[in-house]
Amino acid sequence: MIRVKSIHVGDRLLPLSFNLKPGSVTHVIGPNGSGKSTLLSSLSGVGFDYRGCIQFNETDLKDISLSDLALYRAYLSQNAKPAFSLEVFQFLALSVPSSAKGKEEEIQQALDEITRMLEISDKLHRSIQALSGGEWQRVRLAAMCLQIWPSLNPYAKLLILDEPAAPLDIAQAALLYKLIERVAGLGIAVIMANHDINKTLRHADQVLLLEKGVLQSCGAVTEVLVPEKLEAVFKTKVKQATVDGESYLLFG
Amino acid sequence: MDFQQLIVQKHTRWKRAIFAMSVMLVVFSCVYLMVGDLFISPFSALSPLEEKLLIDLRLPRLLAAIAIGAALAVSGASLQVLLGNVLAEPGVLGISGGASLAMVVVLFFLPFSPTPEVFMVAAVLGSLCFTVILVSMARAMRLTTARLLLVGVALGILSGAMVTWAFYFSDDLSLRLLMYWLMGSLGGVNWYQHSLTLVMIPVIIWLCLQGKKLDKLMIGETHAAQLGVDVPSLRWKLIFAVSILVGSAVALGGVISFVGLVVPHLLRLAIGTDNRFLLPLSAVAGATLLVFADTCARILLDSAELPLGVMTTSIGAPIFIWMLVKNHDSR
Repeated sequence: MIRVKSIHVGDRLLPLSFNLKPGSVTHVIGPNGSGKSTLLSSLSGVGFDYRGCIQFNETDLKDISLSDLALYRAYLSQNAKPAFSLEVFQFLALSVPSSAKGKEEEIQQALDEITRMLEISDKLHRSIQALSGGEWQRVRLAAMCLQIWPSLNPYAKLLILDEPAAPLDIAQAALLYKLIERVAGLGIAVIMANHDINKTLRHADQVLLLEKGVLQSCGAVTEVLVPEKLEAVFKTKVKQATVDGESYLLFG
Repeated sequence: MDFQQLIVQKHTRWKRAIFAMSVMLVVFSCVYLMVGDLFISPFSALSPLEEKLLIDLRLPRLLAAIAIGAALAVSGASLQVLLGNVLAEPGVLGISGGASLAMVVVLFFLPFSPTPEVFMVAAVLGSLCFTVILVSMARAMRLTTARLLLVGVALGILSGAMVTWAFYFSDDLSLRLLMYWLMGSLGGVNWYQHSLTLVMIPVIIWLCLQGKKLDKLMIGETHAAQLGVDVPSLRWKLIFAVSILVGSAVALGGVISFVGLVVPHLLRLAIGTDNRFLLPLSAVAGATLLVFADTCARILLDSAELPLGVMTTSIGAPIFIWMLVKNHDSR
């Protein structure tokens, strides 16, 4: 269990608290500039200097060394391609956790499963400079999964994804959500920033709704994703509709 | 293909390249010791003159070429990762200029005649100062590739101008010393100056051992941090190490540009970007290149010698232009 108690970052993020249960998927939604990235990078322990308390199983985040933290969580930030050309397998090899030393068979199995799910198994020998935006994003996702895959890393607890779907097309985003489901099924808590609210409706166990650094609402999908709350935060008309027995949110 | 197999394959390629390059270094070094105004045959007994020539002139000069070549190539490769820019190089970015500027200041404003140690400390401080300016500007202003290079070139021009001022006001003896630094030459290296080499060797070895962290840093600072690298501390250590190497290299042989750019770049093109192997290979290849260039500098003209720095710049500058035009590897 990961407990977040009244953390805040300057005036970008005002005190908020929530818990992340193992195997749960939490979506952070809100307009641009509402503090989603600030929250996620604080949670990763590498970003902003936050106040308050984040606990990984009773241990305070600030007492965990950076190298141990790399075993506890993986953090996909929004970043660009590096200037150097290296091959995909080299990039992935950098993310193999230190706990997987000597477990070559497990590494191969995990890698096979992850790359198959993301449909990049044929790209291992390609240079990352030659990848399209969607391919590069999936390679980065694969690296994150490798870092916290439980058969390689028994300490893994949390996967943090900052707008993972942004560079992906519709089909690739579907692969992403399947992968997240699988990771959560392995007992890892997943928290991600998201813009596609209908995907949140479908795939989240818990939703945090942020507005200008303030946590407006937090809870299950049915409590948070109601048209009135969304309208107030996003300043746009929101309607709920049901098509073929599935509920959708429409924005005007 | 199998993941582990791909990695092992790559490692084998690197190890082969390091082995081949080391053999080349040994061969070139032997040639270096043999040729010159007086050819020394390895198969006949040495006359006292030949022995003196070998031990007092050629050997210290050869070791200086190896040390400077290795230092510049390794610091170039690390700077490129540090700045996230494949075109970064101590000479191009004016870091060597900072060292030479500091040495000029010491030469003109110190009341006593400076010893090699004083020169070295001054050179290291000069390069450290310029590196810190560059790195903090690159970070604070989020400089792009092109602007970072421009700032570096401007710093280089600035230091060049100061050195030219010194030129203008100097007497005959200091003029010769200045020329020596500006053009880069190993002509006057003696055993005493190799106390600098003793400082450089551990720093080169330390840098070569940072490959794993540099690999992660190469992807981006946030990614490196989330993989457990203490980025700020690593950054300062790298800056310090590079400054020591560049400062010592300048104190030993003057400003020798483009070794740190050309060597890692061509190796990246040929084999790839795996810093664990790239750094040691760069060290060996940089040493080989400089031994070769200095051999040419010594023997191309009869009874005279070309400045080494001019040699490397003439080889390196066209390659640099080609890289800029082709914008290889770079955003």
